[in-house]
Amino acid sequence: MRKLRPARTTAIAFVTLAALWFTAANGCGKDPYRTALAGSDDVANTVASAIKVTTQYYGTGKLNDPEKATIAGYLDTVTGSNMKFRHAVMDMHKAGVTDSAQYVALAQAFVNSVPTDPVAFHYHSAESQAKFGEVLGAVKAALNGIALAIQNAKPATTTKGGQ
Amino acid sequence: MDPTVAINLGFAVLNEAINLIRGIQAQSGMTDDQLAAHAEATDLQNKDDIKKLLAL
Repeated sequence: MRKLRPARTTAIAFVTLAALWFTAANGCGKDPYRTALAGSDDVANTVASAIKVTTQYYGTGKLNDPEKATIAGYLDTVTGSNMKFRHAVMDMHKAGVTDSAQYVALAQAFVNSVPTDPVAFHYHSAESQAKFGEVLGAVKAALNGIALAIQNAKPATTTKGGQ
Repeated sequence: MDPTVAINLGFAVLNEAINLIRGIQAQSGMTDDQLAAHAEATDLQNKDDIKKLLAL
């Protein structure tokens, strides 16, 4: 198992960088509103994947009750914050805001509202430690990627909502 | 590097890349309103699934 750690760490780093690059590239050519919605959808999808893996691992005894509760609590916080972020983004769009800096500020507030570093959790099983480093690392990467993607978005050419 | 580790590493990276491409493709076919509705539905489903996970 010791050989797995550097390899998995490399994989997590590679996948995280790839995710950030893809997210940033996905934001290029799109307006900040669309990019913020896409980032929020990415976060929701990574959380859905994390829930499935958590259920599988708990069902096979690879996670104990406190570990399951910790992960579920983290995912619940991310989901609640993601909904608040998206609703704020939609309100801002309806108000006619097109300035990417204001969408970036919302994204930063979103990231700051989820203070726990999920890859710092400790598990009783080495396999669970490695697996949830990847799974929750992907959630964290999706979260952190939103602000980067919005910064790379092109300014909207039209205003909506009458500003 | 152990060949098994290398294969697992390759599959993990490939799987993540495929998921990212699928997600980007799915999003590109949606309007803004559809994308917002999809994210909302996924979040609501996630909330429900988290409750079920905690009840296990």
